Amino acid sequence: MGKRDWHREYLVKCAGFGDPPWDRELDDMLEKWRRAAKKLKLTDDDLKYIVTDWIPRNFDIELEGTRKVIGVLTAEAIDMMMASERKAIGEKIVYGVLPAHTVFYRALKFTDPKINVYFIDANFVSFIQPLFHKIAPFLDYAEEHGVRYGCRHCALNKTRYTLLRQGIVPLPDVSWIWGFICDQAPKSDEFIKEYWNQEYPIIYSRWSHHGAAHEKEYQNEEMVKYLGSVMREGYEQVCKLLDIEVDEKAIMKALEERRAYLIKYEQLSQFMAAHPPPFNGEIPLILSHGLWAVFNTGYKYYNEALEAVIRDARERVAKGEGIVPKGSPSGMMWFMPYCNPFIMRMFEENGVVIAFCDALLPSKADLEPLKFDDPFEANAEAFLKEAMMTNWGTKADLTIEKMANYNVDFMIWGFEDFDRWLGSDQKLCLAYVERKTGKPCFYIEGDEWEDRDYSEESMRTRIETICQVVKARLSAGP
Amino acid sequence: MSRFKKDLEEYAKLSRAYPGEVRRRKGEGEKVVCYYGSRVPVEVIHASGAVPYPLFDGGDVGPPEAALPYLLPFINVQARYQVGQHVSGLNPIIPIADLIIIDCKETDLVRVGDAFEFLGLPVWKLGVPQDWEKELAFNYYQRQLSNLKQKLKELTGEVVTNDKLEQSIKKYNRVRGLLSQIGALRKEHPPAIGGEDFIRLNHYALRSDTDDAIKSLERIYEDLKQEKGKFLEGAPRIMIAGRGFAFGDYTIPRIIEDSGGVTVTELLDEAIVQSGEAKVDEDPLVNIAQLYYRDMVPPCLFTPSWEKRWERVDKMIDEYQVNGLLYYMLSFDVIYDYEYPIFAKRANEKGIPFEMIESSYDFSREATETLRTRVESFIRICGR
Repeated sequence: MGKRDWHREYLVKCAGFGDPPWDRELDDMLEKWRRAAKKLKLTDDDLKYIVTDWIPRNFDIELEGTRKVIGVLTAEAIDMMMASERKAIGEKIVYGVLPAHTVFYRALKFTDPKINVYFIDANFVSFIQPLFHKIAPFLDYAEEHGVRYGCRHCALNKTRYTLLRQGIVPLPDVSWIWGFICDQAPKSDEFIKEYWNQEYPIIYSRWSHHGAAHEKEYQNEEMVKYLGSVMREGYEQVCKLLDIEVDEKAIMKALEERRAYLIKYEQLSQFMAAHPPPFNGEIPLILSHGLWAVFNTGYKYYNEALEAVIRDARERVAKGEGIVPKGSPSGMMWFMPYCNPFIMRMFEENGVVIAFCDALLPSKADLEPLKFDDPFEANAEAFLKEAMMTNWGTKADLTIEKMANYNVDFMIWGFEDFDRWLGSDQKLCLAYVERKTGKPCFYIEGDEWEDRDYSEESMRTRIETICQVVKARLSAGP
Repeated sequence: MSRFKKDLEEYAKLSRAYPGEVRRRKGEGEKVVCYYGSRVPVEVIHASGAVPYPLFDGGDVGPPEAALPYLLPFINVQARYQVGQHVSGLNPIIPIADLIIIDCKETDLVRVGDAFEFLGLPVWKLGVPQDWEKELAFNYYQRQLSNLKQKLKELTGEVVTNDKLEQSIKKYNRVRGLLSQIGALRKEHPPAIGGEDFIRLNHYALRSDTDDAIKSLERIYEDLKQEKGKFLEGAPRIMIAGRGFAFGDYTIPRIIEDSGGVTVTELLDEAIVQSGEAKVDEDPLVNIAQLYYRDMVPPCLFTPSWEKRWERVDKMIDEYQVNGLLYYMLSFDVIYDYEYPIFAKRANEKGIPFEMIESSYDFSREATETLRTRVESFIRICGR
C-alpha cells in the first residue's frame, strides 16, 4: 500500500477541492499548496493529524459548505504565501488590517489587477489557528523580538510582525492601516518600522471615538464627513504610492460587490435564526470575513462557499434538523472564539448552541440604503453603523436588537480581554443588556485568537456552568 | 528649612485646599468641569468661567480593583484608577461635576468616559484625531474645540469671547513659562531642585487657582535661583519617560533621589504642565489648537509619534547631560509597552543606560523594596 498523500487528502476531504467546480483546480492548487505548506513548515505529520483528527473533530466536514469555507481560507493562505514571488516579478503588494471594509482594497484591484491586497493578520490567523492549531510559534517569535507577553498585546498584530520579520510575506509597497477601531493596529506598524528598523510606506488613517453613549454616529453629519475625508485622504495617498489614478467608479463597483455579498449573507443569518439552528455560528462568522478583511482571491471562492453553506442550512432547516436537539437554547456571543473551535463543541456537548457572532452580524441599519452619495462618505456612513465602531451604548442597543431579531435566548461576552477597544466596554454592555432584556448574560475571560492561557479542561467547567444556568433559566420561564 | 522648601510647602497647602475651594465655589453657584487627558485645553474651561479640575489621581492599588465590574483588567491601571476611585467614593469632585470632559486620543481614556456615562455622570467627549500631522486632522480638532466652547456656553451661560480666551492664554502661558524656567534650572550641576519636587510643583499648578499658581511659582523660581539644593556633585542625572506620575504617585521619583540620583528632565504625557506657548493674537482658539495639537511634544498615542518623541529625548539627554533613562511603565499600558523597547534600543545605540520600571500602583512594602533594589542598581550603573 502506497504512502498516503496527506496534502492531497487535506484539499479533497477537508478543503472542498474534491467538490465541483473546485475539483478542476485541484492539481494546480495542490502544487501551490505544497509550496505554501513548506514555507509555513507544516509537515506531513501536521497534515495527517489535522486530516484524521483535528478537523473532523472540530468541523462538520460532512457538509459541502463547511469544506468550502475551509477551502476559502486555504486558497487565500496559499495566495498570501505567493506574495513574495509576485513582488519579485514587479507586482505591487498592499496590506491592511482587520477590521476594515473591503471596498477600497477591492477598488485597488479593480483599478489594476496586478495590485495584490492582503490582510496578513486576520486571514492568516483564521487559517493557521482554527485549521492547524499552530499560532503559538508565531506569537512566541514576536514575544522574543520586542513585544512583551505580559502586557497582553493583540495576537493579530504579533502574528503580522512575525510574518514580516521572518520573511514569510514580503515588505509591502504600502501598508494602509485603518486605525479606526483600535490604537494597537496602527501603532503596531509604527512599532515594526521603529523597532525593526524597516522602511516601507505606511499610511495611517485614524479615528477618535467620541460618540456619546447611544448616539448613532452614522447620523452625525460632521462625523460622517470627517471620516469620509480621512478615507479619501488615505486612499489618495495609497493610489499615489502605487502610481494609479483614483477611480471612483472602481470604488462604487467594490461598494456594490460588498453590498451584494452582505444581502446574500443575510439569507444565511435568517436560516441561523431557526430553532434549532442548522449549525453553530463559526462557519457563518468566517464567511462574514468577506465583509471585513479583503481576500486577494476576491469573492470567487467566497460566493461559492456562501451558496453552499446556504444550501446546507436550507436543507437542514427544512428537515427540522440542527446541531442540537429541537428546544435546545440558542445563544449569541459578541465575538465567537472561532480560532479555538473546541469551545463551540463544548457548548454543543452540553446541549446548547452559539448561533451568532454579534460583532460581525449585520444589523437592520447595515441593510438600509446609504444616505450619502459621495463614495468616501458613503463608506464612512456604512462603517460608522458597525457595532465594532460605535460607542458602548449603541453597541448594547444593537445587541438587544439582534437578540430580538434573531430569536436568541442568551448572550455571552468575552474572549477579547486583550482588546482595548472591542473588549473593553463589554462589562458595561453586559450589565445594560441584561437589565433591558432580562435574558441571561455572561462574560468569559479569554482570547479569541489563541489558547495558550487556557486549556480545554479549564474552559469546560465554565461552559458547563453557563449551560446549566441557561437551561434552568429557560425552563423557569420568563 | 530653606526658603524654597517653605514656599513649596505653602504651595502644597494651597493645592491641597483646592478641592475644598472647588466645592465651595460650586456651592456658590459656579460650574465645575473635570477633565481627563492632556489634550483638553484648560484655557477654554477657564475662559468659560467654570472651575477646572484635572483628573489623574493614582498610586494606590485599591481603586483599580474597584473598577473591575466596569472595565477589563487589561485596561491600563491609571484609567482603571479613575473609575475605581469614583465608585469607591474617594474623589471629592467627580460626584459634583457639572461636566467631565474626556480627551479621546486613545481608547483607554474613552473607556473611562464610557464607564462614567454608564454610572450616570455628565460626560462630554472631545474628539482628538491621532494622525496629528495631517491638516484635516488639525482642522477637525479645531472644530472640536469650537464644539467644546459651545458646550461650555450652554453649561455656564457665559459666551467664551476672544478677550476671555486671550486672558486665559496669558495666564496659562505664564504658568507654563515659569515651570519651564524652573525645570531648566536642573541643567545646573548639581541642580537646585530634583524630579520629585518638580513633579509635585506641576501637580500643584494643575490643581490650584491660576493666579495662586503664578504667584507661588514666581516665588519658588526666585528661591531656586538662590538655592544650593540637596544633591551631591556628581549625582547620576536621570531622565524619566512614560505616561506620567499621577497625583499621589511619587514613590519612584523619591526612590531615585534616595538612591543617590537626581531626576533632571522628563518626557511625560499626562499630569504634567506641557511646555509651550500659545500665541495671543488673531484667533485665540486656533492658537490654542496649534499649541495643544502641534507644538507640544506628540503624546505616545499620536500616530506616528515615536521618531519625534525620541528626537526630543535625545535632545534632552544632551542638554541636561543625562546619565541614564528610566521608563516608568504603568501596568497593561499597551501602547507605552511598544514605546519602551524602542527607547531602550535607541538609548543603547546612544550609549545611555536604560531601565524600565513597571507599576501596578502596588506600593506595599514588599513591592516597593523590589522596585528600590532595581532603581538602586540602575543608579549605580548610571554613576559609573
